[in-house]
This record gives sequence, structure tokens and C-alpha cells, in this order.
Amino acid sequence: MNDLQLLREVGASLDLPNPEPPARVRNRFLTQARAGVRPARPTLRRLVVAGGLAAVVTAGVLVAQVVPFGDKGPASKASAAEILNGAAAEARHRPALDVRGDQFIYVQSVGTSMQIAEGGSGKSTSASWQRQVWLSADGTHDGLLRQQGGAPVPDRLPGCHDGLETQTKGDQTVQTPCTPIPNYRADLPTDADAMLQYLYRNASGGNPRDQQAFTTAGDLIREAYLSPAALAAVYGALAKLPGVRVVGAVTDEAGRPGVALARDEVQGDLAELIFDPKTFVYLGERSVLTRDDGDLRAGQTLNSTAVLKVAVVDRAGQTP
Amino acid sequence: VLTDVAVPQLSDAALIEASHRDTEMFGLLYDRYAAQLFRYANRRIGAEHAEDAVADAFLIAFRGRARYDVGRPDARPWLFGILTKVIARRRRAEQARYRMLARAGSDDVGAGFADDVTASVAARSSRGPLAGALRRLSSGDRDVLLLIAWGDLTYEEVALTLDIKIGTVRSRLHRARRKLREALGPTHSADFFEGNS
Repeated sequence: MNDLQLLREVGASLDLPNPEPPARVRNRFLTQARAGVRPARPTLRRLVVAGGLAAVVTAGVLVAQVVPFGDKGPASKASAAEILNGAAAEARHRPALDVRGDQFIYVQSVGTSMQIAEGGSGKSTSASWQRQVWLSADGTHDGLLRQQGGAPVPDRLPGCHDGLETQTKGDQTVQTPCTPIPNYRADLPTDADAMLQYLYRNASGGNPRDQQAFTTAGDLIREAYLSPAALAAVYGALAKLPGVRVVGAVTDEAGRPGVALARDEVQGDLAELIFDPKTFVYLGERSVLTRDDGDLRAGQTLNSTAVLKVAVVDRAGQTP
Repeated sequence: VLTDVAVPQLSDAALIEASHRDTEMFGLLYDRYAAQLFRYANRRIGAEHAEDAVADAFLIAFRGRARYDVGRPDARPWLFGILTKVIARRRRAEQARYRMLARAGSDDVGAGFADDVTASVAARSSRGPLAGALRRLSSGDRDVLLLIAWGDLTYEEVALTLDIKIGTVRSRLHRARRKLREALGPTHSADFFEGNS
């Protein structure tokens, strides 16, 4: 058997008993298509699907500051590093929490996401939400998601218990094989250089290496609790990453003043991490269009999320 | 349901054109392709992500239907192209899946997969090395390899799907397969030269 045939067989061995996607996929697609919903941008794991109506978010002031890919002036690099090193220092001063596997990472946040309306109007709209999520620390317990606004999201986040993930489809229960994906990791690097190597090692995809590392860093801190040392290491690694620059002063999704840092993305939007300009506390993130897309213009904000609270709690549903 | 009788003979392009007036027509396009897109996505990123990816891909397709080249009656490459981009956004899930498969390896063929009993011994024992190799491939090479091996697309369809030249499809596939064979070790290389597909 040659390699391609083997690969085909391995692929077939992964197939589900029922080849059709569940009916809810069709329903979701058609409901959103009829409602003129714009597909969710890559954000907040897989759970956020935009929906609903609100005002257009604009950030026209940022257009002039979006510089071409590859620009890394020494001045902007220095100040970005300053902010990130400040964030690292702030992170190190936080109390270290002891996280048990059976506990939950609690994150409270608010966000807004853009959509383009289909049909006659062609008007862009945005949906805002308030969100509380409880993520199983070791990935084996069922987490919880509560969200007001935006599209309906699942309220239960199935954990992987004894190698099986239990999902409820209507009145049916389906179990899928799985490997627990911990939401708290005690084994992350705790110094900046090791973290930078970790980011490079765990970054994949078609983008340039440094860009991928930046994205991976964002993934690591999004809706997560990291130990003070690991969190400081992430910021320290970003401070060493070439091309990270200050985008400018922004107001975050919760109305707090912030300073946005970014690396230019190649796919037409700019992912920004936002920090408090005085305390250097991480506030949240945004993604901003760098070129026109549909009726949206370069400079408009596609997604904006502000973290309000991060905590470790004993039970899903428990607020700190 | 009411269109079941009338529509099957329409080309994909005709359905897409009709969907400008009637959104439900796109539902029929969904019915034609959802199963194969879902199967492909499930293999790469697992069932839960695949559900989201397929819904997203169809929504993106629907939004972009005005740009569809109606000179192409068959929408399969277009849809697979969109799905490929959606899957690219879920690279962490994909990487995690390959890591899990690599770990499962040959000792733990159970791993709960439905069709394990039907997979040959060779396929079971090579799952670990293959998953490791998939994880390490560049995304461009992996897309080509998997569209062919797991999506059952032809070279021509892959070229349309990824908007690359046929020559590029061939060279990426060649490179990807070389890495698969390296991962599988010497036992399999002889077979490859016999049965080069």
C-alpha cells in the first residue's frame, strides 16, 4: 500500500457513523443567511457567532497609522517593547493562584462584532454581547457559557471525560471520542526567551513566522488564566518579537482608555492587543480592517473585546 | 421540500443564480455538498469544529455568491476553497487533532474511532507517523495533499480550489508525499515506487 492509500484509509477511519452533518448545521446556516448575518471572524475560539443589530463601529482615525507590512521603525518598536515590558512587570506582581484540575477559569467580557447585511440595504451592522465563560481547567469537566446579545451560543461546553465528549442534540445524546484540552496549563514557559521559542514552535499556518507567533500569543491569553510568570513571559516574548508596534491610543470595548499594539496582518485585518496606558494591564483586543471589504472601509473595527474579570472558581456558574 | 422534484437537474451555477432571488435555493446547494464538506472538515478538525466550519463556509459562500463565476457549472472547487480558508482559521484545532492521533499511535488503535475495525493493520499502524507528518507540513502542502487524499478532488479541482496552477499542485503534492514517506520509514518507500498514483 502506498503512502497516499494509507492516508486515505486513515482518513476513512476518522469518519463519523453518520456522514451527514447534523440538521442544526443546515438550520444555523439558513437562519443566518436569511437574516443577513456576516460570518464570524476568527475570534474568541469557536463559540462566537455574530448576530443581532446595533450601530456601526468606526475607527477611522486609525487609518493613517496603518503602515505597510514589514515596517518596523525603531521608535515604535521601542515604545511597544516598553509597554510590553511594563505589562510583564505588572503580571509578575499578581498573586499566583493554585489552579486545580477540577476548577474553572472564569472570564467575563464584553464584545462587539461587525456584520454586513445582505440584500437591499447593504448596511453594515454590529452585534454586541456580554459574556461569562467557565472553562474546565483540565478540560475534563463541562464548562458553561452565558452570553447576552449576539447570536445564540451553546450554554454547555462539553468536557472530555474518560475519552468521551457528550453532546446533546435535541433529545439525543451523542458521544464523540476526544482528548481533554486543558484550559489551564501549568507547564508553560516562564521566561521570555523560552516563551518566544514556544510561540514559534506552536505557531503554524501560512503567515510569516513572527506574525504567527504574535497570533499564537493572542490565542494564549484570550479567555484564559495564566500563572503570573507565564503571563509575564508572554508579554516579554512579544517585546522581543520583531515588528510589534504601537498602533495608537484607543478606547476599548468597555470604554476604557487603552493603547493598541499590533503586527500587520497579511489577510486584510490587523489584530490589536490593547493595554492600559498607565498600568499596562491587558484590557482586550480588537481587529481592524486594513483594506475595504464589502461595504466596510479600511480602518473600521471588525471585532472588539474587553476583558472585565478573570478568576478561578470551583464550580461552573459560580461568580467570584 | 416543494422544490425536490423540479431542481435536481439544475447546475450548481444555476442554483447560485437562482439564490439571488430565493435564498432557499442555496439550501439546495447545501444539500448537494454539505456531506462531503463535513466529512472532509471532520477528518481535519474533528466533528465539533467541522460543524462550525461547514456552517461558516456556506454562509461565506452565500454572502459572496454574487462573485461566483457562473461559467463554472460545478461549485465544488469554490466551496472547498472557502472551506479551506475557514479551516485555516482553526489551525489550533487541527494541530491538536494530529497531535492526538499521533499519540494514539498503533498501541492504542481503539481511540474510539468508529471505523477502526475496517481500517487495515497497515493503516492503523501508520496513523501515528502520518498524523505527525501532517502536523509538520506547511499549510499549502497539507491543503493540496488532503484535498486529494481526504477530499477526493482531482488535480484540476485542487488547482481551482486553491487558485494555483496544476504544476504547483503537482509539486506541492510531490513534496508532501515525500514527507509522508519519510515519516513512514523505509518499509513503505518500495511500495510507493511500485504503485505511484
